[in-house]
Amino acid sequence: MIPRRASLGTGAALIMVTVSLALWAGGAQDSQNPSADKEIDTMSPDLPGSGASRVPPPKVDALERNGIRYEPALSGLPLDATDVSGWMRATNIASGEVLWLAQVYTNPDPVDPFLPGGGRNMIAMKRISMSGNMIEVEDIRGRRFLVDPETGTSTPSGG
Amino acid sequence: MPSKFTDEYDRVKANLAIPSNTDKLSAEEQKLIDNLILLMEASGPAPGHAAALDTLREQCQRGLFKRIFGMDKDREANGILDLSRTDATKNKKAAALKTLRHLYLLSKFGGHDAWALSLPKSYRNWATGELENADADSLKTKLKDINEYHTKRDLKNLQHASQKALAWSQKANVICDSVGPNTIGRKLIQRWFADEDHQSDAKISALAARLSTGFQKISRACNSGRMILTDDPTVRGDGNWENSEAFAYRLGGQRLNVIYIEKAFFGKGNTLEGSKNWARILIHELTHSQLNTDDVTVPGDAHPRYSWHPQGIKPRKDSFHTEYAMNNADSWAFFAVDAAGMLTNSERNVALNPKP
Repeated sequence: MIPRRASLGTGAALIMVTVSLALWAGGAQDSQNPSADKEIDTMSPDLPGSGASRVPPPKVDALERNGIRYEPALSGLPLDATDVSGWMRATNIASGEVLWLAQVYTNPDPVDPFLPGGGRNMIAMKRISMSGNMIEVEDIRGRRFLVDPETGTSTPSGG
Repeated sequence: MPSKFTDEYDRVKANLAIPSNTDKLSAEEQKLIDNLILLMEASGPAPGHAAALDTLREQCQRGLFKRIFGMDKDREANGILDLSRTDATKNKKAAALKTLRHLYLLSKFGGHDAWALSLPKSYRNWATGELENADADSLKTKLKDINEYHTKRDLKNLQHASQKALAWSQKANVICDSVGPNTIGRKLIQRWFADEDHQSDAKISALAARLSTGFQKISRACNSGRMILTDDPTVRGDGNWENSEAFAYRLGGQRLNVIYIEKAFFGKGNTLEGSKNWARILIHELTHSQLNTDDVTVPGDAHPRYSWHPQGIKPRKDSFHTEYAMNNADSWAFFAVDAAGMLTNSERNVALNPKP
């Protein structure tokens, strides 16, 4: 009796799991229209996640000094960058040569799996200016960093 | 981290049904509760029962003369507490009623049916969490608070935006039905979705079919009478979320059709402004929740492909190809605004092209 009951229970559980998964998959495709276009429904495989509409970050003026332009890097980041905050590029204005591309600050927030873009918002730059012989960068959260103009290495400067 | 309104909706529904165990409700009060329970259908609030919400608000507002002269200052709270006559579960039932006290059927402002929830600004949680552990005094204070996150003017603007979103989605669907040579449909698909490898008749037709199906789904969701617009009070003060214009869970992320309207929604600074932008945002979010689109970030980019992206959202084989565009919420939204004939040349150029 006992083994048989266990086997029935296991069978019932398996059926329930299968039905639940099938129902979930159906619901995930389209709760309103089960015959909807499959191509549309599988646009992005990552669930549940979210999408957001956002306004652009503040525009930051590039800093030009000794023939070199220092600016936020918004493209051309390393393809494996999981944190897109704080990237900066130094370019020789005359030759167009990129002297360095560096991440001068990071996003300290824990990964939020519901946030679009890999679970971390980009913390935008607010200002790039000179501070003595160093470049000072401020982000939209008010954090400040001193950046070596030669190498792009940075340290927090308080504030 | 945000918290889904669908979960709160289910809590409200369950807590509304808690029977009074201290003192029987009057027949009139019980009828109101019964009607509110009928309102709370599994797929979302039923417009046919929206009158119960007005009755609930009247219950919280009656005795205007007394309230004005300070003789019934707590009427707003008492209106709810009178209906929450239970012992240990009083706070839960009061929270359910408080939620419904701030739920509005937007068609009252004209047009089709959509819902808006506008909880008090001071709340940092859905009503159930906000009131769960409140003592008697605090409960009364929180119930009396009717300074809502979205003003009545906001609600009216949301209604107009939702109306436009529906009309523009329907127009976009119609436009996709005809994509022969020299048609507006073909021109728009080429403009927003077709890269250099997707210019043939067959490929344009295939894109048109996908877009048409998508916009049909968006129109249905918008016109279902079950779309709910609310902010998420659990992320108030969290810049990651609250400073967005709006967000939505992607397809399958939650049962109800909810768009979270956040702080920047009515602000400025995006490519479009005002009612045009509000309708654009709703379509953008509906593509996330109904079609599972993304805010596509091309590898190596710092920003997703919003219309303000430095490179724009024009499809290009080498950098933002057709499949990226077809998966990108703002591409769909701008296509719809363009299909409705609502984009100026300048707005279109900003959205499509690299910024100087």
